[in-house]
Amino acid sequence: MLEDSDQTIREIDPMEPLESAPSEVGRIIRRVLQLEKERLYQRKPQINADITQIIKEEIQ
Amino acid sequence: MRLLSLRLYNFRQFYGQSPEIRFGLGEKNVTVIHGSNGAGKTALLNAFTWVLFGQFSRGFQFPEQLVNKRAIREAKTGTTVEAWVELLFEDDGRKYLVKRSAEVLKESKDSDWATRNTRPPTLQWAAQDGSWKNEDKVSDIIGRILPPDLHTYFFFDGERIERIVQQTREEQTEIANATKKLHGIEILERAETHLNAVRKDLEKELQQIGDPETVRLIERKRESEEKINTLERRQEELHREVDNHTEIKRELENKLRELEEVRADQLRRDQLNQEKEARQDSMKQNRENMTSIISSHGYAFFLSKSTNEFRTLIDQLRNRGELPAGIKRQFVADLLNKGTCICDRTLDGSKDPKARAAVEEWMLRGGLAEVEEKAIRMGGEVTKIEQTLPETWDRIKQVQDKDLLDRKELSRVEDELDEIKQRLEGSPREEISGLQRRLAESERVIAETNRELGRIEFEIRELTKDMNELENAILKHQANEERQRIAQRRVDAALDAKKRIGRIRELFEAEFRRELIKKIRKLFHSISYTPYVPDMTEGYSLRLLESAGGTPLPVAASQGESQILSLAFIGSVIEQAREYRRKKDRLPGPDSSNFPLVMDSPFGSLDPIYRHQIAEHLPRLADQIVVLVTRTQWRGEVEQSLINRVGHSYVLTYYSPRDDMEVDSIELNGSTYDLIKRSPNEFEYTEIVEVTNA
Repeated sequence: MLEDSDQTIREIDPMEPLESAPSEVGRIIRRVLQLEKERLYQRKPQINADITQIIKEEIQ
Repeated sequence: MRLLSLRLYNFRQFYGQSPEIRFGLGEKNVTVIHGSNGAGKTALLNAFTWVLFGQFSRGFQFPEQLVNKRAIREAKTGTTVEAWVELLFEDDGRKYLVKRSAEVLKESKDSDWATRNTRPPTLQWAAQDGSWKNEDKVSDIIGRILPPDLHTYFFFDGERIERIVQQTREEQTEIANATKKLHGIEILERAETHLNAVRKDLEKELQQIGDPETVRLIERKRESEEKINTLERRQEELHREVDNHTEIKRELENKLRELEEVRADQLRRDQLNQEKEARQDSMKQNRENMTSIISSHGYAFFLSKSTNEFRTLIDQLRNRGELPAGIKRQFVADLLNKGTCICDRTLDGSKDPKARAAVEEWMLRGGLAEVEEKAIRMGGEVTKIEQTLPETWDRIKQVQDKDLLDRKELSRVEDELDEIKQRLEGSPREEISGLQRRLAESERVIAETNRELGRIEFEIRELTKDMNELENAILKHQANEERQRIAQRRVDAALDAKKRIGRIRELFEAEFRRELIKKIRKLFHSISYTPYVPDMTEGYSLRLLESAGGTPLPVAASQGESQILSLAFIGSVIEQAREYRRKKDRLPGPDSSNFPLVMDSPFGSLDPIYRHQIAEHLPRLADQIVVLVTRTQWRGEVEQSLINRVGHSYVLTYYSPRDDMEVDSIELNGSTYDLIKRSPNEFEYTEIVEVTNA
C-alpha cells in the first residue's frame, strides 16, 4: 500500500504530450512556459495579452 | 543563492554597526552563531527575511520596532535614527548587494519607537570591470533567485519547524504551493489558467466573425461553463462549511478528552476513527485493484465461445487431412516456373497439360501451409488465454476476500463507535450528553454537506462531458471564411496547448511526488530510529504510518519525530530542486541551484540521539547551513558532529543593564567568549563577536 501503484503514470515521460504536439502547438507551449517562468515572481502577472500575441504569431 | 556576508546597523538588539558576518562554503559550509535566549538569534534570522523580502518569521514579535532602542534614546530630539541590514550574496556567478533600511523620527524625549519609514530596498550587482551597478527591479531580481513565498523553507525557526507537519489547512496549501513553485509546477498551473482565459478571448473574436451555427454552439458552451462556475463557487462554500464543522468537531472532541469521566471513551473513539479511515482506504484500494484486474484480464472470460470455435475449426481441418499441409506454395510455384516436376516429368502446359494441371492443384493446398503456421501461433495464444483464467479468478477471489474482511471490520468499528456515541448521549451528566449531541449535530452537517458535494461533483462531471462534446462539435464545424478558419485554428491551438500542459502537469507532478516521497523516506529513515514510514497526501500533507499490524495506520508523531520529518521534507525538497536544475532540457523552472538554510534553534527540544543524527545530516541538507544556537543546543553531540564542517562562528554577547543578572560565557576554540555581560550603561543591547581560530 505504501508503494506506488500507478504503473500507467510511471511509464509515461512527462514531456510526451509536448513532444507529440503538432509543431505550432509545441512552439506555443514552449513560448508560453518560458513567458510564465519570466513572470513567476509576480503574484498576478498581466500576461494574457502576451499569450494571445504568441498564438497569433504562431498561427497566421 | 550563496550567502557571502551580512552586516547590521542599529537593527533590533544590535547597537551600532556590527562586524561583517561571513558565511562558510564547500567543505566548511556551516556557520554557527552562538547566543543566549533573548540575545537576538531570532532577530538575526529575521534580518535575512527582512532584507530579502521585507517579511518576518511567524514568531517574530513587534515587527514595527526595528530600530535599536539605545540608538533612539541617545539621538537628539528632532533627528531621525536609521537601522539597516545589508546582505552580500552570489548567484549564477554574479555578486549582489541588497540593503534595506528603516528609520524613526525622534519627536520628543519619550516618543514611541515604531518605525516611521521603511525605504524601498536597494540592490547593486558587481560588473566585470569591478564597478557596482544599481538595479531598479529589486524584488523581481530577488524573486527570480529565491521566490519570496519560499522563505519559510530556507529561513526558519527550528522550534516551530514541526508546523510543516502539523499544519492547518491554510498552511498546507501554502507549503504545497511553495514546493510546486520551487520545482516549476506552478509555471504549468499558471500556463493552464492563462491559456484558458486566452482561449475564451479568442472564442469571442471567433464569435464576432463566425457563422450562426458556430455562434450558437459557442453560446451553448458558454452557458455550460457558467453553470460549472456557479457550481464550483457553491463547492467552495460547502468545503468551507465542512472545514468549520470539522474544526467545531475537533474542539468538542478535545473537550471530551479533557473530561476524566469519558476520556477513555473519547480516546478509544479516536483510535476507532483512525481504524475506520484505514479500512475505508483499504476498501478504496480493493476497488482499484479489482478495476485493474478486470480491465487488464477481464476480456478473457468472454472469449470461451470464440476459443471453442477456433479449436473445432482446426479439428475439422485436421480430420479432412488438410492440416498439416505438408507442402509449401512457394515450392509448387518454383516447380511450375522451372517447368519440370520432381519426378522429372515435364510441366509444360502445351506438352503435358494433365501433369501441369495436377501440380497447379497443389498450389491451392500449398496455401494451407500459411493457415497451419497461423493456427500454431494462434493455438499458443488461445492456450495462454485459457491458462490465465484460473489465475485471474484467484486474484479476484483474493481481492473479494480482503474486501469482505474490510467490510466486516468496518462494520465492527462502526458498531463500537455507535455504542460510544449512545453511551455519551445517555450520560446523566448534562455537560457530557450536551457535548455529544453537539458533536453528533456537527457530524450530521458534515455528512449532509458531503452528500451535496457529491451531487455537485456529479453535475460538474456531466456538464464537463457536455462541454467536451460541444467543443468537439465546434472543432468539427467547417469554417468557410479564411479569417474564421484562422480564428478557429487559434482557438483550437489554445485549447490543445492547455490540455497538453494539463497532462504534462499531471505526469510531472506524479513523477515529482513519487521522487519526493522516496527521498523523504530515505532521509527520515537515516535520521529516525522508529519503524515509521513517512507518507504524503495529495495535498502535500505529511504523516507517519506504522504497518506492524498489516494495514498501515497513521501514528501520533512526537514533537521530535515531527521535527525530523519536517527536516527530511526540507532536505528532500532542496535535493530534488537541485537535481531538477541539472536537467536543463526539461521544463523551465526557477534558475537557482544553490540553496542556503538558516535555522534558529534547529535542535529544539530533541533528545541526544536525534540531536546527534540531525547534526550529522545537516551539512548535507543544503549548500550552506547557518545555525543559531544556545550553549545547551550546541554542546555535546551537536558540536562533535559539526565541528569539522564549521567555516565561521560568531558569538552574540548580550549586555544586560540589570545588576543582579548572572554573567555567562562559552568556551570556543580554547578561548572564552561572553554570552551575557553587565551593560556599561542603562541600555540592553547585543554585540556580535567573531570567534577566531586559536
